[in-house]
Amino acid sequence: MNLRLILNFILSDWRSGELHLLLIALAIAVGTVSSITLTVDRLQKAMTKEASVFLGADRSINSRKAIPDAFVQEAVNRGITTSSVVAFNSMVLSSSDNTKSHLASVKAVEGNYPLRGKLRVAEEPFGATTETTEIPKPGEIWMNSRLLYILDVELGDEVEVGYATLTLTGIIESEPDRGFSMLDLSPRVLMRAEDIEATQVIQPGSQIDYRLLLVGDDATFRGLYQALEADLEGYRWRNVKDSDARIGRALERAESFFLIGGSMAVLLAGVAIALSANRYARRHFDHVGILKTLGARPRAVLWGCLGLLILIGVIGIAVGLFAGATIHFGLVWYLTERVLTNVAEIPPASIAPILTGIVTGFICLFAFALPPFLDLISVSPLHVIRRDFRRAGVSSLITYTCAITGILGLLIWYSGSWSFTLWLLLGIVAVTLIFGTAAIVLLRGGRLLGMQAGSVWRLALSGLQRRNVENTGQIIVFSLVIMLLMILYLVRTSLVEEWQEQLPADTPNHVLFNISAAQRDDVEQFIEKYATEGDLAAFYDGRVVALNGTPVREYQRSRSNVAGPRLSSGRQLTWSDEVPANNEVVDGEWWSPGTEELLVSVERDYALTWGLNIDDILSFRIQGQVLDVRIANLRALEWNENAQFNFFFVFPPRVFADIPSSYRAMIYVPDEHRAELSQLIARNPTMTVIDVDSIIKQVQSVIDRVTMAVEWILILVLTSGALVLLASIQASRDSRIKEHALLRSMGGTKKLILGSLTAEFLLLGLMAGLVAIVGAELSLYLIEKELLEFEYATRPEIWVAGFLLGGGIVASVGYLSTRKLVRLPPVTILRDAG
Amino acid sequence: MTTTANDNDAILRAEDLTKEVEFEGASLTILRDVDISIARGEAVAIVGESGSGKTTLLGLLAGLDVPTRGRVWLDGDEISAFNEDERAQVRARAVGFVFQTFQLIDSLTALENVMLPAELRGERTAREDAIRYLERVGLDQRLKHYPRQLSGGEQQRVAIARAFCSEPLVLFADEPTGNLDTKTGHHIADLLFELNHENQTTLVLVTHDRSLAERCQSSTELAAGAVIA
Repeated sequence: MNLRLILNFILSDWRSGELHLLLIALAIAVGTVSSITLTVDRLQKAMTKEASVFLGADRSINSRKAIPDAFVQEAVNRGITTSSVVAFNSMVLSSSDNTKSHLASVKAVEGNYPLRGKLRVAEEPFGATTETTEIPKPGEIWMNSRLLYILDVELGDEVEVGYATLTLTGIIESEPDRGFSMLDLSPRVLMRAEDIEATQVIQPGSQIDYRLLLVGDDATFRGLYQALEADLEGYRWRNVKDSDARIGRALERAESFFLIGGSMAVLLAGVAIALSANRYARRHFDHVGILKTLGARPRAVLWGCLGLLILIGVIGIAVGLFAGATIHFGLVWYLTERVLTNVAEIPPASIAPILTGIVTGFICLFAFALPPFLDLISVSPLHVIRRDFRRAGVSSLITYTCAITGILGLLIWYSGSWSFTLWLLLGIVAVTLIFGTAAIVLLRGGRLLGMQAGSVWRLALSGLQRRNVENTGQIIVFSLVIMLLMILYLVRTSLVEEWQEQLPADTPNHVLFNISAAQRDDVEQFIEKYATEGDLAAFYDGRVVALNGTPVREYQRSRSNVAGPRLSSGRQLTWSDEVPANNEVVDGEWWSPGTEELLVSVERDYALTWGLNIDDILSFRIQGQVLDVRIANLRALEWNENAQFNFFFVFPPRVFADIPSSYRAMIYVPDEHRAELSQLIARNPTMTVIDVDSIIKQVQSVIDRVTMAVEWILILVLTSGALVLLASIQASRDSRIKEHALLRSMGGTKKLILGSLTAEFLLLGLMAGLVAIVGAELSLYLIEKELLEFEYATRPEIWVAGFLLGGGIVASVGYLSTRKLVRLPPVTILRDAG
Repeated sequence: MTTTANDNDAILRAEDLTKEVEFEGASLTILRDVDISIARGEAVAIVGESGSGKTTLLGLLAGLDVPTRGRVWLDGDEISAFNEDERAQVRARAVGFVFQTFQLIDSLTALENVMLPAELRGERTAREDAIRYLERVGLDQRLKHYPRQLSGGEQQRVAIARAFCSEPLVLFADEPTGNLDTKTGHHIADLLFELNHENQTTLVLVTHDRSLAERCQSSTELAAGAVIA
């Protein structure tokens, strides 16, 4: 067949509406996939960029050894931007009054620092802060407000770092890659790398942290990593995910979610294409039969079909890409204009998602639509003479091989993971088998019930039974769609809830160190007045030296197979009269307040690990004194999950009666009370304060973005799901048209037929809902436990949602899409509606 | 106009039936001023060339469609004035069909196809009646067969069993032998007339087969949408 003939066929098919659904299905498949990949691609880039602020770069190489020039050269040769940072502790002195000095965390940077993120500076000590892109010039130094206060210096004064004299020109409050190592705890000083030599502080044995900050693209980093891998011993290669555990987890889980969501969208779209292609082919048996009787050879029909498919593909993909891009740009606009107004621009899209869309379109088309089209080739010319003549048909082996190969290819390419793909496919095959059986059982049961039911229900149930093969398929498809939607929704909810739990609105944004006993009341009053959340605890350094008289090292050796924190290591200790908040005594009893006994409360897991029991005697060395204390109770607590200090060992206050104490506080100070916080710090300059507010805000902004993206993916997958629903209802349209006309010619009223149709879809939906609920519970168990590492709990809401979604959506979509059929005059039966 | 009975005895009567359709902006008359009256228990053939309006007339008489002008009475009801649902109720009570293309539902067995009209009316004896009629048309061994497992003649026999099973007052048959070979066509025609006789049904038969038309008591011939004999 020539192109003109094919075009004619397409045009006439288009006019008659034959091609609409196939094209729409394909366009939505491509649109969904391309908009998801486009959006994920750009959002991921944006998230990574945002998160890279925590590193001050996209990657960094850290070490206690100087970074070799060869590393820098290798990176520069690959087009990667580099910037070196050297961090160390040093005493800083006022040049005018050498008695004023303090230990500072010095960071010496190159001119292009920071590569990502911005510094925050203040105009005056403890004043309001603003962002800046500048850094100190050579010969200059910027210091934290507290140092200005402690050294009693002003902007323009000279200060000394080692042997170098530098001019104080700025007040730095925070920088993007602020860390939490011991080198970062003292007040910050920022200076230029060019001035390090003059300070002469770098001596053999000095504790120095070298960082090489890198900015570039992922592919180049992979190359660089491979090139350096052999020499990286003693150097830490860090990416964004290492910089903050919360961000890392959020990004990783979001990626898993996108992967699941995207794969499901592809699968759903594939099913929609298969259904509409099948219907299209079935309706064209006559067409092809006639062509064959007119002398068309099978090869010509094959080329004709392929031509048709490719044309459909090109048009569908073009429309899909356009739709995908439109959705994507709408989404980006929404995100940047309405939701994340304060963030930097989203990086431009790459070509990859467009290619993904195109390839997805063609794979979907050939894997899912080709088999039914091939079926057309085998149509016998006899079909024209006898419509009931059974054609040879493409063997189901070819059909399934095509579909499975297509799905496999797509998923592997899409997820980049064989194991994920195989598990997902196995899951779907299992679900289909189980769902199929369940559907058949439900349909049978329905038929039996129908015998006893009233006429609408009776007709509906016999309708269900009439199309039992189609309906089994539809129940599988509907329940898969409902199940996938519920799973995605619930996984999303778990993800978002977990992220929000990690960072509740009043997550402490300041940590205060070195609070003396004399300053304690001041801090406590501040917490009471201005902080909405706060924990203040005494901190003592100490270690266990013996258990029931046995030296601890000897005892540890006897339990050499134990993994976990060592018993002999130095620990931070505290006292309390009451059970600390969010701790629970699980064995023994808490002491009565004011007890004079020497007791200790031990964290349960630690006690279990080391075989510590109630009434055991632990000997502690605390600031040179050895104290024997009896284990009074064991406590359970969630590490890292609450905004407070947690301890392995807690003592009654009496134990520390003769030991000087130092306190720490973790507080949430709302923005409106930052001035009071500055006054508190100014009153108590020896306290160290770490402002984690900006970090928390950055984490929250990343999490907001991820949440947004996750929600959009859900909406896109929902659209694919609705399409599958529509396609599968459309697939039964032809047999329904014939049937409705026949039923009405036999005297069935519109009301009866519409009622039975709605009842039929409602029943179909409820059956699908039931199957979906069971499937969702099972899959969630696997996904949450294995893939996302959540704790699994059954959710009663899925049972309600499953039936509501199933019954409601399927009944309304079914009703809306078939009610037009009932309006066709019954006289169509005489014109052979079949 | 052909009148074969007094208008008062007529179970089916039409006056000035005209059907026009819109085609590419112009009005096309496919049936013009047809009057017809058919007595209870009578067998009437509607004959004519292809495109003469036979099937259109059948559709109007059976209440499957409404005329542009004119009136139709079926068993005393003026069905041309009824809405679609009211006409459906009349059809359910009084009308049966046999179609040229059989119109069986592929996913139902022979038995289930025959049971369908009774199920539609919510009757509980549907099954027994259906089996009885399938036996009558000689298909008692094929109750569980699907249409695709039956020959054309067998499918039409199922359709005839379905039509008579609801014991209609009027049976409309649209080219019932049109899709069958001559021999099978004869058998089917015999069966149709036998059952018609046994059940005292009024038969309206659309055909272009003169020999089939001659087996009816009277016939109405259409040409270009108008009655010519």
